[in-house]
Amino acid sequence: MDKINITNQMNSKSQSNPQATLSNSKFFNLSAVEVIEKIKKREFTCREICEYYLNRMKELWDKNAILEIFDDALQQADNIDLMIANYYKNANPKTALSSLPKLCGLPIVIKDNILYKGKTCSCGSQFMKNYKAQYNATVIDKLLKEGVVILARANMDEFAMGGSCENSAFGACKNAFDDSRVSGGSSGGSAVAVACDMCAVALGSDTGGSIRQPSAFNGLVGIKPTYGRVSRYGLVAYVSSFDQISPIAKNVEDSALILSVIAGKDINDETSLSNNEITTSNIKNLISNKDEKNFIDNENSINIIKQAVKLSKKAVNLNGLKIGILKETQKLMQKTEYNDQYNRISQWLQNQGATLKEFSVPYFDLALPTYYTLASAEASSNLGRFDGVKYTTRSEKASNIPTASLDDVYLYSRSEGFGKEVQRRIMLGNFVLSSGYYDAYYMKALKIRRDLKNQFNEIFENCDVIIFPTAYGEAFKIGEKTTNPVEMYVEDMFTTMANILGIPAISIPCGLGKNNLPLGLQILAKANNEPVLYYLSNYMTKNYEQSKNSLATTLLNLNKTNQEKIQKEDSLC
Amino acid sequence: MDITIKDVEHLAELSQLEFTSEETQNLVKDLNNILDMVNQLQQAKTSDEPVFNKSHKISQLREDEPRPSLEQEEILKNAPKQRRGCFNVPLVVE
Repeated sequence: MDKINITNQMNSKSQSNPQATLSNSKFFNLSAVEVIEKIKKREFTCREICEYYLNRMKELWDKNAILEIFDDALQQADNIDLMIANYYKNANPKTALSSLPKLCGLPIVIKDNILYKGKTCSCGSQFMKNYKAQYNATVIDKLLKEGVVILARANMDEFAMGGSCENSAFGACKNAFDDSRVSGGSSGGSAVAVACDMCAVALGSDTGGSIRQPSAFNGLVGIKPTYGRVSRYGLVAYVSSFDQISPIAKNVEDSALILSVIAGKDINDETSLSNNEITTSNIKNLISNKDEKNFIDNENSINIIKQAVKLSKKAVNLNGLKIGILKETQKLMQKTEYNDQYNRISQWLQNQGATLKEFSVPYFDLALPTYYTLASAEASSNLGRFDGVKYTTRSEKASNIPTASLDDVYLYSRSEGFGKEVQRRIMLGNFVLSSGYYDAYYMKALKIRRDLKNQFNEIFENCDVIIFPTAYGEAFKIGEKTTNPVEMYVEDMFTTMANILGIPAISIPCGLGKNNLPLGLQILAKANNEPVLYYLSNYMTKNYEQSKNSLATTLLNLNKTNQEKIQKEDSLC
Repeated sequence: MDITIKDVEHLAELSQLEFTSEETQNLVKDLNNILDMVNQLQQAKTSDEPVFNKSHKISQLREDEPRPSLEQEEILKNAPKQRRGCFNVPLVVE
């Protein structure tokens, strides 16, 4: 269905009862954990909260975060409600509610590049606008098995190429807190959907920062797990050796919960990792209680991710945690107005008992050219499959000219179907792979990646995590960086490193910038060390005033704007 | 080293993309801007160790056992043109 058609349909529906979704509603800003618990305890039905979220989507349709609301969303909700009703009818009242699925009734939104059987998956592209998924991505199967309701698909930069969501063929997605600013990208729609309370949690994908940067720009928690932690089966490929699917959430606990459900080895993705690889050594050093230490040793490895959050709730300090900071990222931040703000974080962490150590990665800023070389090379190959034959729309021109050859079908369809940025990256990819330039670019980038990897491995011998910002600052203005592609690429300065190295990195809110918009802090760890990321992230969002405030303030702003909007509409009536 | 109009035309051919002359001009400009950034790679000194992914295990082999796959009908469902259970394309071999 066309975006425009959906919009009309939604607008006509949304007139019915805008008051119903006033932000003082009992549903407003619940976390995923809260939603699940309240549905399980029958404080409200799954249908009720789904209706609330769908109304939010319609009310804030102009944000352009949502491309399509799935027509069976409420039917899915009814099925969940039926299951819960049956549970209460048949179950012994003393039976623990935990026998209901882990994510029972949780409404989620998915990025438009994750396959959900029978639904359109357009990757934010005109070329794929008619594509209907024929099977479920592994993450979708896992989530459905645990009882989620999939409400809608979210806007994104075309084929996940971009850092602002302005490259979507269906128009830019606007920042949750400021319509004149970008949502970040490429998972911009997913982030804005969560920040605007259109769902409790959403799935995005991260290839060079596509989860972490929009999370930072919208005051959210976004993780890019270790490469292989989550199966890529059913994710439309952009850069196969970097891509990871992962949650965008309102808090650290929700993020850990969703990741623990979707992580794991998958027979359909040879690069996926077993959960047994998750390591706990770092958090074990932080815990003095013997029982808790034993508990971690005996706990199922995937539960450690959730357990890390629980343990950090009890923590009163960060004694024993070794945090690395990099000379190079500090130098990059010196030019910005947020230098002091980030320095205060380091100071605070030290006050909490953590040890700070400074390291140097002289080639830090080469992560960006390395990323763009490797990413465009893989993209040019991955996007070869979009040819107007197997899927994607075929050019009318090719169909109308009787003498058109098969090559013409490819040529016309790809030229009409792909947007400008996608075409640029295909061209760049073919350049760095073409004979004569292969060694100078592609091979050179592989060598730098290997050297960076060795350097970071050495650093992680001496610290548990490394911290630096997620982006240079707050979300920038829509249209500010669209004239020169390089200006947009430079925005990925801090995020591409984790993808190149295949290591986990999380972005958490860490304060507000001069426009009262959220800033993000990134925490990186060695491969398979997600537990320590969750431990520190949760500790910070619970104890660091700036992290707490940035979440609270942004939500307050949102609440205010909505109320003003509704008042305005009322006065017009 | 600069990318020329001729280079862009060659790359377009490799990419199965066609551009108007104005688009070609813009691509020359954009790709040169991007290469200015990417060319930083050349200054870096790298070691001569072999390039392979140390942190990852060597591909794990699985038994070559048949597994269910998508039905023919499902595979063809997104094809813009199909005929008698096949993808339909213009005549390739006379």
